Amino acid sequence: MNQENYVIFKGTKDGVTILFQQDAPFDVICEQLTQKVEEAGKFFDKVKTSLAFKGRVFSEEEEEQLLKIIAEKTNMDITFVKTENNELKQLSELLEKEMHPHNLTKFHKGSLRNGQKIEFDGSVVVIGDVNPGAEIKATGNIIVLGQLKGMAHAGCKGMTDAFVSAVYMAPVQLRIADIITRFPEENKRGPKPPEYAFVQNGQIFVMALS
Amino acid sequence: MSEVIVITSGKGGVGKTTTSANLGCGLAILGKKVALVDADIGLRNLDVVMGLENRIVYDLVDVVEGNCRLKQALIKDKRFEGLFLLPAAQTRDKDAVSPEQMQKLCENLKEEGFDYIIIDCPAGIEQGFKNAIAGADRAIVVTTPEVSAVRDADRIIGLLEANGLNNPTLILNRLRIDLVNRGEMMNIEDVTEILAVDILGVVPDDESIVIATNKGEPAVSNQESRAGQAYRNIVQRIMGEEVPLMTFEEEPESFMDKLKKLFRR
Repeated sequence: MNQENYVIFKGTKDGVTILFQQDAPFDVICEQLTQKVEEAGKFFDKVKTSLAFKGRVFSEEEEEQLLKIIAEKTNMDITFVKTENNELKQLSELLEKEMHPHNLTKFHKGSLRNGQKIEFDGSVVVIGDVNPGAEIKATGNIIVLGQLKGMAHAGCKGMTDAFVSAVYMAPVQLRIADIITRFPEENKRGPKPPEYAFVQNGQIFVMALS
Repeated sequence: MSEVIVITSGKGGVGKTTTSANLGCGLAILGKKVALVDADIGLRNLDVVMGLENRIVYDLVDVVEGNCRLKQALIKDKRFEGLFLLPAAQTRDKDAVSPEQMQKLCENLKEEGFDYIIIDCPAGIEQGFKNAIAGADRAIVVTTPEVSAVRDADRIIGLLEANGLNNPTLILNRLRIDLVNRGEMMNIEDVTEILAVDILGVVPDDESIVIATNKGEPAVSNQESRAGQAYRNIVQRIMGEEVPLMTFEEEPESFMDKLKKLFRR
């Protein structure tokens, strides 16, 4: 083996990292990768891990080709592939998206009784009933998997595209952003389908979910 | 095995004291040793309902402050073997006792060998409520089929659960079956749907309760009283027996009622 080592396998605590030589020709890299993977074939047998490509930026096609080699030669179960070019950008994008208020959700299991209150910077899902006298205030959306008979305030910091949805909607009062409405009495009786409320033209509308 | 049961409701006037008195007597009739504790300091009533007012020497605050021994303050009810009352102080207020002191008191009562210690909780959710539930092992919530009472019961159940008293049971008091049948009063299902707790018993609205309360003789000992029967059933359920809920039928109309109806048309 007088050939230079262009492909190096490294085990890290996050998974397996493959280091590629920056200036090696792509077909040589493919060759070496195939060889190395074949040699270590049994070692990677049925291992569940994430894979990181480092040291060099590949085009999408090249990436695919490399992954194909690995998939063909081993039984490795790859959960996640991290590559040099998209890593940082994607991560920051992902974080930004995740941190957007209505993407953070609080799940409350059990009913909210009179006098109990949930206040949350994000969306709220209640798995249970919201009884009269209970309150939910969320900067995002509100979903109640049960009867909503208390007060719900979605988008309480001004998000007008927030919505409130409930399996049985009969709130004392409904608020979205800074719009407040009393729920019509005639809509609080008898069986009815799940509904959701949203804002259109500065007014709260309630529609059946079907 | 002794058990501390707190009778509470949130709203006033729904029948906590009456329920406490009747359950206490009912348990004593069945041979249990029972202590009734009035936690409504400053507005005591349980002694009056029990007809024991004239025998009070020491009260709950005296015991807590160490002015007397626990045994001295316990009033023995001569009508029912094994029934004792610990009355509340009338000249003090709720702040005279702390939750820790109530806890200690309940432990001392358990050591006295009582099978059941029933605490009559004051209305409201302030200090008096916190005192009353401090030493309790389980809670019974009393409500009437009125929207306001059910709201308060819901609030109380939330507070009980927040204080570790999970799975309280419910007594629906003063149900008027004629109104329910006409659809003008909440029925049992309406109430349990909102409160989502197990129902321990339903007590019909009954004149005999008013009469018995004014006489100082709990209705549970009156064999003819329908409310008394309901309380007897509840007592059996507290002791772990399974008794079906009473079926309610409107009392048959008397001849005079029919005549009156005829003329009204």
